[in-house]
Amino acid sequence: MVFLMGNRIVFASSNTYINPAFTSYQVCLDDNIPSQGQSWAFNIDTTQHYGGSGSFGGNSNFYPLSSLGCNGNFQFDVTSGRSSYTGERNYITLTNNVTGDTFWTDFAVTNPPTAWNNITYIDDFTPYIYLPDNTNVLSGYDYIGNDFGNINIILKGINHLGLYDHFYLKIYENDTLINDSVSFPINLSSNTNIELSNFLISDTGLTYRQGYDYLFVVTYGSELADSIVKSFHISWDILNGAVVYEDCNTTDIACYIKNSLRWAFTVPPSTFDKFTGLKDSLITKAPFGYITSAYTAVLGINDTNPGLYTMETVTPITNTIFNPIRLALSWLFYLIFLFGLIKNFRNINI
Amino acid sequence: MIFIALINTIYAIVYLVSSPFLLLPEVTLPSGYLSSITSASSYITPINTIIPLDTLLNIFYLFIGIEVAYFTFKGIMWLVKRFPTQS
Repeated sequence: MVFLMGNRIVFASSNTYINPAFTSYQVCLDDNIPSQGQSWAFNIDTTQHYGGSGSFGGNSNFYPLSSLGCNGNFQFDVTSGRSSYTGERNYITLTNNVTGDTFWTDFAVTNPPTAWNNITYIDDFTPYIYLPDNTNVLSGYDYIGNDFGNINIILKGINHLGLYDHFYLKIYENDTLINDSVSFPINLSSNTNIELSNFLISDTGLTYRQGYDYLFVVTYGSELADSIVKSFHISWDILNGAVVYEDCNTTDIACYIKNSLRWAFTVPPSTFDKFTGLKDSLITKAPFGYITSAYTAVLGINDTNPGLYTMETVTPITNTIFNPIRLALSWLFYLIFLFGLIKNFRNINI
Repeated sequence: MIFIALINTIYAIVYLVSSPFLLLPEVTLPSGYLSSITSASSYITPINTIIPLDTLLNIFYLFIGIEVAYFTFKGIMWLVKRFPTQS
């Protein structure tokens, strides 16, 4: 049983109004109903964790509490459009149309609601980027050095955080998404500056490459929806970064030569990517596209495809007769190919 | 820096040579050809019990690879011989 008391929602001592089959959910309003004119919106979300996909209809109309009382239970059908709730977390929210306060509770078939939680959203946050030497930098920084993975991310400016609030990170390498939704470890003991302790870029498990630009997108979400997105990017500039020049003494000629060689012969990996991009553009164009499609089709031929028919065999016969024959044929085919190859090479006219 | 300039020069030449092809439309073999290969595969798969198809396929890929390499080599040599100082 759930009571709405003023602008607060509390549970009664029992959940007697929850149908055992969970075909409906009932909210009993307390006699101490809030002031006239205030109403509440009911919504249901069946996503596993937080909002986005998977929500279904529900009833989002506002229900004036003045028309409801403790004797007039509100029944909400949660089965429409759904076949099963098993294994999922489902959410019910109640939003006051005057104050805007929102409360939520979760439930499952075998786990009815136990408490209502007040949804609170953080107002803002700022991602701080700390280099391995603990220097704070801004977005758009060209990293100089060979310790890219030890760049630290710390979020600050967070005024409060709920139990189910979360942050996650998406990483793009030269505009290509390379990792999705890396969760941040959150230090809940802090109320003002959420420091993602020792959350190094290398903790994502990715391999970062010199000469590439990395875009980091941090998203904050509460229990039901993502709400704040912040992004920053860091380039790992090989010309200034991967080539670590030595500090040479004025008379150290060898040091200058080494630095010169580093400058002359170091090539960023992205330089070679242009060739890969050109190849990818060409292989589908005429006439290469014909060869590519034929090549792809031929590669699909293998000895494990389902056949149009089956050759019935008996295991003892296969083991004693067919397998030795297959082995002998394998050697024979390779030998024929080898002799043919030698013969062709002898006749090659360069 | 020298290598970067060298690689960029090579890329520019390759791009210049291949750029006319980039203007051409994307093509693929008619679906009938592709499905015929799949059908042929489904016919020959059952005989894998006796004849080692994996060996035959490996030899086939080796053969194609060697022929492509030889053809490419001859093409490059043909191009080299076009230069005035070469005979």
